[in-house]
Amino acid sequence: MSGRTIKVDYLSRVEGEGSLFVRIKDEQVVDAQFKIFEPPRFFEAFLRGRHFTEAPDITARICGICPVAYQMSAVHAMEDACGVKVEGPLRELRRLLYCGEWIESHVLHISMLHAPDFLGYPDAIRMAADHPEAVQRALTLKKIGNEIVTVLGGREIHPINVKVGGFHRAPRARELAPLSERLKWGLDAALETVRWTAALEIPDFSGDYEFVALRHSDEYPFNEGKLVSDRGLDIPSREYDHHFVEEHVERTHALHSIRMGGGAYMVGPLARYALNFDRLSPVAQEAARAAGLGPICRNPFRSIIVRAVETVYACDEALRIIGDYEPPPSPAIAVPPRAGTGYACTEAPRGMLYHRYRIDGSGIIRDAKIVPPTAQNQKQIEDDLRRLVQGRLELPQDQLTRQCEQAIRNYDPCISCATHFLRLTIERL
Amino acid sequence: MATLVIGIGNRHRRDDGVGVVVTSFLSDLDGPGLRIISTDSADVGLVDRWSADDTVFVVDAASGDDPPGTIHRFDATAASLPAQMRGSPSTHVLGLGEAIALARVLNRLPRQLIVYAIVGGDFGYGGGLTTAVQDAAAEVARRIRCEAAARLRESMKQQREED
Repeated sequence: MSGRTIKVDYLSRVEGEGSLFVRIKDEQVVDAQFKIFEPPRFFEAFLRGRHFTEAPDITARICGICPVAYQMSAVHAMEDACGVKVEGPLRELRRLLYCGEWIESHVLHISMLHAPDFLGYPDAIRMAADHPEAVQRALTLKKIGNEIVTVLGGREIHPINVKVGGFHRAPRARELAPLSERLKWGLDAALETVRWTAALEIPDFSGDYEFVALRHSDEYPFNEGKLVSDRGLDIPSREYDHHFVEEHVERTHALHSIRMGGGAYMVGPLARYALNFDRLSPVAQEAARAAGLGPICRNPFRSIIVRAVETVYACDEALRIIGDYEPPPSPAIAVPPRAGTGYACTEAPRGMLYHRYRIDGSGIIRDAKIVPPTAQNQKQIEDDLRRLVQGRLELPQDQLTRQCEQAIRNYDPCISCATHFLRLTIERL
Repeated sequence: MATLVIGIGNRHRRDDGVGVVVTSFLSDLDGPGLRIISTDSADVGLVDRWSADDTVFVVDAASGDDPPGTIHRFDATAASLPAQMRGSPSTHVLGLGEAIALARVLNRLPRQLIVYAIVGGDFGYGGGLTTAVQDAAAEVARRIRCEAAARLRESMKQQREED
């Protein structure tokens, strides 16, 4: 019997805090635990008793990276409960807001958090010394995403302009127009980012994942669609609880999600892309092909390229929305409360985000359930690590450890949505 | 060429908000030639806040062994911030030191970057500064007024000479 232990006290370049433990015995990985030990945050508990109109602003505080996702899932779920559907320019503005968040989040992850793994740097600052153009391009592109969120949301983090039924204030066409010039540059920059990521050395690794994402009849999904998988799932969001179950696992404060009667599944860019390649705009599809991506990608390390393709799409879609924009007659439609339960899934940058609320006749929230994408990916992350380590036992310890960290970052874990600090330990017995 | 004053902090975490309080003291200066910016974090976007020929004052809270209210002044254009100021206090965003380091690597530092770090005593939940930090905030605001005025005079003199 041989053994050794690898410890990484801090996994940097992830959003939030957690830990990981891998045990190897007799050249077999016998345990892989992705531990999330964030103290309970009680969001679902303190939503109870609040008015249904408060949910978008309260849940936005769950995350500083993807507050728009929380707001979008919240407003759609509340509108579902109240039997209201938001259409036309207001719906388009919601998609535009989501474009801004995807650009912000994807670009930050691609260039500042994940790329250093592929290029062998400990952080983005040291990478920037050798790749200043790529980092500067990312900073400018991210700023464009911030500007979209600021114009529509009132500020770039935790936007304050979203409400059930629409917005507190709708932008004038002339407020959106300046974004078009910026986005034209942004589209070119995103295309360059696809080329840049496609040139990275990608580890050879793949998995037989069950991809789960929204799919809409005629658009790449942000806010709407049926919940589908490549193994036959095809349901409306309101049936989520009949097909997915959360399990308490002692080592983590975030619940593990699994498919009911099944196992791990993957949400996020790879899933969206595989299930919706035909819904990408032509320029995004062409960028993907040129980068060597087929319509389905099962190598999670190539998610960095898929994120870049989705950034192309977000810029392209934002340009389309702004070009077609006609201000709505009113910034919001009325949503009178009624007793009922509302359900919504939307696509946060790092994967599908489920909200469910039960409200009473006066609009008071009686029950809330929120399932963030990182919680859903937890089990898949553990499975990836188990297989990754098993296939690379011959690697030197430091190299194996770095690849484990890189593999975790494939998921762009927004750990603070459900976690705290990441500590990595590989123990060989 | 402009002068920027950037106050960083969270006013709901007591003394952490001192940077924002300083900028509120200086809000009357906000105008075309002197911009006052308040932000709750120093993320990567800080690099894009300024131009190459700007003069920038950044005010942030600091923790350390010095008594609350202690004022540190660093010229970040001349040298990196001290090591203890380079890491981020948060796992969610870059810290001020990292943002400045990134600007330095990208050759995106402004003409002059002055950092005022004010040592806090209470970073708990709630609003309002502790007395010593409140006094320090007023003092830093006074110093920035003087420094900004001196730079404005210098810039006008340069302009006249160029004309």
